[in-house]
Amino acid sequence: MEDLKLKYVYIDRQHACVDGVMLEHESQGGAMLSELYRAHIGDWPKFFKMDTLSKVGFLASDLLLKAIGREKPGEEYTSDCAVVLFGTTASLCADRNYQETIQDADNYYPSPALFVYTLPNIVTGEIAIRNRFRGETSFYVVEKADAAQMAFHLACAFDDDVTAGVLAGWVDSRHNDDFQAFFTMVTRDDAKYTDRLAAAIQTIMDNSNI
Amino acid sequence: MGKDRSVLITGCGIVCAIGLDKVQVLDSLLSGRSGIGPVRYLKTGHTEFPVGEVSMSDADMESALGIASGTVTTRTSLMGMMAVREALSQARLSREDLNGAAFVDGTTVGGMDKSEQYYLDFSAGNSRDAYIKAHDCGSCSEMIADRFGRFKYITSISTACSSAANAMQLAADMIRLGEADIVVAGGSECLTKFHLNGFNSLMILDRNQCRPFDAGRAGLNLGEGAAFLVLESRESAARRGVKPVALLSGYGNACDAFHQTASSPDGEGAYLAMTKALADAGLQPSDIDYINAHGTGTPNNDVSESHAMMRLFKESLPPVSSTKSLTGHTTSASGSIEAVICILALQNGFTPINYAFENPMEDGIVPNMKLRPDRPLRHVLCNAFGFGGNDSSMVLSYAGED
Repeated sequence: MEDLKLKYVYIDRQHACVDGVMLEHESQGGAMLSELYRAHIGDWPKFFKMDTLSKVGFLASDLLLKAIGREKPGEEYTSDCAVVLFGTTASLCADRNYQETIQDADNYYPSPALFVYTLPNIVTGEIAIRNRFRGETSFYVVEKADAAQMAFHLACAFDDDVTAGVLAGWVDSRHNDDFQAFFTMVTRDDAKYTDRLAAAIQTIMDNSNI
Repeated sequence: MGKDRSVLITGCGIVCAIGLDKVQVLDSLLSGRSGIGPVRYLKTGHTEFPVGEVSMSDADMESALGIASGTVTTRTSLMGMMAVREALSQARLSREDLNGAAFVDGTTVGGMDKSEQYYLDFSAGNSRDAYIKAHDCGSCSEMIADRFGRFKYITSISTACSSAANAMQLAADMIRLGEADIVVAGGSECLTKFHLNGFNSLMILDRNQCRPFDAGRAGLNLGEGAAFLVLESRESAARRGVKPVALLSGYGNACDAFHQTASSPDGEGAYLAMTKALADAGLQPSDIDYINAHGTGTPNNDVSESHAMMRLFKESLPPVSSTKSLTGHTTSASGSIEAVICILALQNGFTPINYAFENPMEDGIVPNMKLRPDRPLRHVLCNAFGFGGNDSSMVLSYAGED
């Protein structure tokens, strides 16, 4: 059986790489995300309201969908694409940002804009809203990146009879300037042999230092 | 007839603002007694917001559970233990029986209550590490599970207000797939400053008793509590000689893909979730005898959910009520708390009223205010919708006489 190769997007605080090709940018950290958004996307101003976890997930998913030639979402909703993400930090970065707004009794302002992001499944929601996906959306909070575990959960997403593809990824954000993500698209065929899928994910993680 | 895919529910337990067990909750439901009132236990300056608190302090619960003081607990885990204890007792499950069982817990706030109490200590280096380590959702789930036995599998589901409903759906999937014979599933969530302030910042808290589906509704009241159910395969229940208290006959989950926190005005996500649940149960809309709505009391939810229900049920809309008018919105736990309320309704043949309703909203459903239904309850629908557009719906069915 031939090895499975998955196209992927990788982003960390200093790098952004689409299918092995580095994207040019001048800034780093959170500023880099905005720079890449302006250079490559530009038609979704809600991006600037997002927390870092959602920005990274949104950017990586959009770059990936463009790279694999998926047409821009139209008016129609689709249920055949699921979003299944993994990470260790969940919404910790947003939790901390929000906590700071209620920490100080003299400067107390619980920010609604920050509060809405204090859940890891908001990033899956943001991606679904952008792409009009009405399939499964999940965010698995795990202790560490484990290719076999990810492959297992991704394969499970095909246990229904509607899912044709899973937008799959790893996304972590410890601080507004510190994050790491990879995104890939897994088809039903890709997920047919879980071991082979796990090996393909492991290759991405080896290349990305996750 | 297709294959019967229903999963048995052989026990359940509940603790919330209207009662500390099923007997008390049933009594409150029958007498239409709201548990919403001024803040007593949560340490907050926001006393202007009424809440649905469980009427026990953490120390009261520790004592009721026989937990030595000084043991690391969280309010979320204590309420969860109260509910699990009641569920296991009804299902007649011993410690040994749990070795092959799974535990699926829905929570989002986790140990936030203790983090709020000890965070300043911790950040100043006078560490109460044990409490900070109990912060994450998984540690609360493990605290609850470990008190009762050595479950072979424990996981937490955190999808905001649909968490407990999704925990029950995962549990039912595990039973249908033969991954487990017995799964204890539900959710627990205590009040915290973190989410009271957060919901306040979203301007969706009512300063008065909440009024779901009322023209004058002005938001929700937060509540707290826990409910757990024992889901079991038919074979296992037969082997153990236990009868079901109800059946989970179908369920569905859908993504609204509209907004991070709000529901789409046309209620597409809610419509899809309910449609999937009915299809999964092999039922028609006219088979449903009561709907326990998500019904938060926010202007947005009640319009959206009304549209979804009217679209799906058309002329055959059964009585609908939101019991959040009695319990407050118990967020992550609401799915399982309302599932237990549905089971009490099925067993005792009544339709819970939508407390505090006065004036019909424009273009919305008129909620149920009549305790005695026109027809016996066979199948009821229970909705739970969460932030991130994560909408769930379950069909619970009457399991017959004892």
